[in-house]
Amino acid sequence: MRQISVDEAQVGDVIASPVENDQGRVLLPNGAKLSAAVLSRLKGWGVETLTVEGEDAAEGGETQGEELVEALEQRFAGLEDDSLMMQIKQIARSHLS
Amino acid sequence: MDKAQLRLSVENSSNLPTLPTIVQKIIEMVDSSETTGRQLGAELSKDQVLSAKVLKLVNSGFYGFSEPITVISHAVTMLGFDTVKSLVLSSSVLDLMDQALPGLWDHSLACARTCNIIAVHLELPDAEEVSTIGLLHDLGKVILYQSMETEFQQVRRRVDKLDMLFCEAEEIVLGANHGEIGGWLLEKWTLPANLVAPIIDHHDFRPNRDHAARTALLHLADILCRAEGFGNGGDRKIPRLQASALEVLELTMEDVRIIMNQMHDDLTNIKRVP
Repeated sequence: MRQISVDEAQVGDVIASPVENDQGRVLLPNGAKLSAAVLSRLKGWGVETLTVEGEDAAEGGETQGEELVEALEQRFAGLEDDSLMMQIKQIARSHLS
Repeated sequence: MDKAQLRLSVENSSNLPTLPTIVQKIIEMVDSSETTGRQLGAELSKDQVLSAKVLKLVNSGFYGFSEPITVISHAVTMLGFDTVKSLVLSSSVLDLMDQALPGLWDHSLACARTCNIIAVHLELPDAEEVSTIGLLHDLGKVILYQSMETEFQQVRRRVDKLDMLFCEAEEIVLGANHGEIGGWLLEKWTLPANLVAPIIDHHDFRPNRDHAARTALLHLADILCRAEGFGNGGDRKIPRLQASALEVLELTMEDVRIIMNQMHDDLTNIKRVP
């Protein structure tokens, strides 16, 4: 998990530590996924930081991204003659950047 | 060892988790036309460990229910007898997935959820049953690990050394692949053909066979999970997608893009493995 500021939060981020208001009421439970609607309301609720699931960039998130791309290249090696597989590879590749 | 001998040794293996009496009772109930969902739920509830396992599977996220299901009879109503039966029967085998191959549980979960995404995209009425097929599709790998340790290790060594597909190495070592091996056990458990045939054929899709649409769906889901790198099926390669599978499902590459984008958006809690 990693701690991020509200400004860094993105749609799809998964809450890893419950978000509470001043009275201790849980606004977002563990495992809640940020939707665009919730994201736009977070600041209004006075929330400044969030703990979300995923690797901390400083803990090697970027290196892992490179490793994932390399692994993708390896997985698809030898399938260059297959246009369907190459199109699938392109789509999967777009999800790693 | 020829295929018939192999099948016999899978079916009679003493290493497979045994079926407790309650499971046998549940199978009888499911197979009887007189059993109601309420009766089945009541029987299942008697075994807390088993009902907890089933509920955990039901709530693993791949069925796409908006609210968690906490009552076993509710699960029976939502999922149907055959799905509950396959979850009950396979729950002890599913426990061993990551022990057999690290990452296999994540791969199976991803495949179940991808099957669900494709089924919903195609507006199929039986998305839950299709998801269950995805969850169980690699059961044969666990059976191999449990009941044929020597052959399992031979397959693994071949995969590592020659960087080949797990199913290719299985064909060389055993003359059959994990789809067939898993299917034999599911057939022994008397699960219906529309659940078993896709698992048997997921690495050997032929459009003219029975249950071709479901098999095509599973074949596609497995390949898309490998393409995206969710979990690990025990090798570092991807089988080729049969163009005829897309034809049977009447899907274009644009549909595949939509499905993969949804996998990327939905499967955020499943690890991508380098």
